[in-house]
Amino acid sequence: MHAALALAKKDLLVSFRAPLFVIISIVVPVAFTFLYAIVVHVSTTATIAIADEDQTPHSADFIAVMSQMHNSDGDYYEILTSDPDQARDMYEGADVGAMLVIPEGFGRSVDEGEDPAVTLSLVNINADGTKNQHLRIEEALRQFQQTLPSTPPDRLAILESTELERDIPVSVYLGSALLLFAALYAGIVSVGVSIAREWEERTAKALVLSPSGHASLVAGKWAAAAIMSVVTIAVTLAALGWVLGYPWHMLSWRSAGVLAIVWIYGAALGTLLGVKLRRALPLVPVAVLIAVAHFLVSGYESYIRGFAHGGGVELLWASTHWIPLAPLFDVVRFEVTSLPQPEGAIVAALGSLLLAAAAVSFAVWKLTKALRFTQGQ
Amino acid sequence: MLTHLHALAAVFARNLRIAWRRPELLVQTMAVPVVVLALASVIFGANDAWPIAVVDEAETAHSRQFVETVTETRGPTGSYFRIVETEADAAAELLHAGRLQLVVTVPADFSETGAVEIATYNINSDAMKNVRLRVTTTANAFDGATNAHQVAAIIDRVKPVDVPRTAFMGGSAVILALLLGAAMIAANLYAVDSEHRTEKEIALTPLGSYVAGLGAAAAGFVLAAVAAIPTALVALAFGTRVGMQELLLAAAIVLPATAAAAGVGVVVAAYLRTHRMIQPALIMAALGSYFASGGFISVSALPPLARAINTWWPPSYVFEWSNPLLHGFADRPGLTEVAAVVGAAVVAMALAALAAQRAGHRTINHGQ
Repeated sequence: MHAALALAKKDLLVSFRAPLFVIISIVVPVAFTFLYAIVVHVSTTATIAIADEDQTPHSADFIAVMSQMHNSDGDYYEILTSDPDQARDMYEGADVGAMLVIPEGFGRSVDEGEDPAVTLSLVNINADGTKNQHLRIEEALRQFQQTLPSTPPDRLAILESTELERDIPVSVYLGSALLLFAALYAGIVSVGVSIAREWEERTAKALVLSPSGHASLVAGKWAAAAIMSVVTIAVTLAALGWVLGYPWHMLSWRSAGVLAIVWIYGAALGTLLGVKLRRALPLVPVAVLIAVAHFLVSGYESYIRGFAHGGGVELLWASTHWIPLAPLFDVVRFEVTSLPQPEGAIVAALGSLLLAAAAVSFAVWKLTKALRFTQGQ
Repeated sequence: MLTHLHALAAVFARNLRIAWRRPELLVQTMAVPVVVLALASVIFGANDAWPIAVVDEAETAHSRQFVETVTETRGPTGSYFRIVETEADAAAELLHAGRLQLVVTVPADFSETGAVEIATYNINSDAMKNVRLRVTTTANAFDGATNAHQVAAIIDRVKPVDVPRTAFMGGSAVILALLLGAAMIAANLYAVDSEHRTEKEIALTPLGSYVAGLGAAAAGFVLAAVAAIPTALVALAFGTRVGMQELLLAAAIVLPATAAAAGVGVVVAAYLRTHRMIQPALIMAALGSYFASGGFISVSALPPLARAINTWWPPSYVFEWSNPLLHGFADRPGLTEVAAVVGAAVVAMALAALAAQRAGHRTINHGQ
């Protein structure tokens, strides 16, 4: 215990005297989280320029319908202009990838029932953007059509029921995933690099051969890394609150527990990587890949589950059964959205801790077996 | 002058030998964009035709017409729906488990009410937006069959066929692999002297330490092409197709940008010095740029805050200027664009030389 505390104190002192690494350890995951967070709403709101060449009440109504379309995440459209000349300039100058032309005579066609039509021009360099614009214009057409007195009353009606009490906002869905990503990244990189550093700075031999045992070494490294990780997670949470309006005040002990488990899982992987690789050069990219892969696969699991029917995506989804982290991401989301907790959370928590224990045990065993020291150690 | 060039060539050759003897320097640079591209392509490229259940409880000509409309609802990415279940109990079970996000039921009294029921597994608002808007598209098509005078939209696209999302991501990932490869290889090679305690030899050279910086940048620039090969192969596998002419046009932007990235890599390495600090900063900045600065989706389509940030973030210009060339949406690169990116390369190389020269004057520790 004393040895572990002494080691943690040593690591914190090293960090205090040369704080650049600590600053980078905190800033890097926060910066990634920030960059990802600022584009979370990209599929909610589509930018468009409107060339309203008609300038009639009907064209104004159509634009009003478009500007009022929204869901719980925000508006469906960001209308950059409705001036025809400006819209064409923006479209031709590639300042916007979509332009809607409401042609002259649109209002008259609506009044006279002469097949009114608008033209949606698209720079189709990315089919996803084209699809987003197509789906939105279909909704705008439907809503506008409903307002017309000439519309027959026997149109198709759609009655919806939902499995969950309310939709989880995408800002909460991805915000929670980013928060857990920060915890996982902090765990892997802080612990892994801290252990590898002992080999890089030629101090590993004294630690590994110390009579205090390997458990003290691991505990000391974890304790110092935990303090830095708490700061990383707190700053990430603040960034998410600022960029996404993430409702951090809804987090309780349950989410704190999930964050701790995910951090422990990451720290265990970091311990294994540190002991096995012994150098930051290969360790950091591997650690980043592990963290990003968990974010993309486990973090999106409950989303991809719905369309994982055949092909590579089903294989990828099936792989999440072997990594028990996915339900933990949903625990945080469901708590923040005040929804009843999903099934499988306890199994996921125990499974993650079990995997972590296995990784640490293997790392300690490696420490016992691999006693070769190079480069003058 | 000739002596300086010889020294530069010697450092360049030494760096190539280091890279040859330590393949992990290249492998790690290859792995990051490959894994991210593969995962992103599988996850984000899989939801074009949404798997759904459609249960027809009416089984009339009218209801069958509706089911047919669901099947035929199409957008620029192809069919919007793929019916994978038609039995009510199985559909309900799949929906409850989240294995389906939409079950459409045509009730027995459909002909009288004209209403269909949809049940959604509303795991997040983005997925539900997609589901609901697709259902709206089906409803428009269904109503359009009986009322031809509906307001319609004519879709006018620049090219007859859309660039698939995975192809766009693939092209960007190759650019990412080149930029990240150049920056990281140059930085790691430069930092080898710091990590292996050979800084003193560099600092004491009569020619000046700047040679070490330029040599690392040159090696990073050349080796980036090698490091990008696996990403290019994965991009090909996920449907990215680029003609030779488009490739050459895009190279006018991407190659100087790669040189600039190599210079930036050396500057970062000169100040951060160790691999443990250099690598997280470069890798995460590159991945963040890929997702948020035009690699994933064009900057013009991003939210206002992202657009504002990207005005000041150089990698976004590389994606924005090269992607239209790569996919045939621009005939040639603009003169201003080429001048800007070549200028950036020259400035980055000059900064790399300056940073390395200044690094030669600092105190060297670690028993050297």
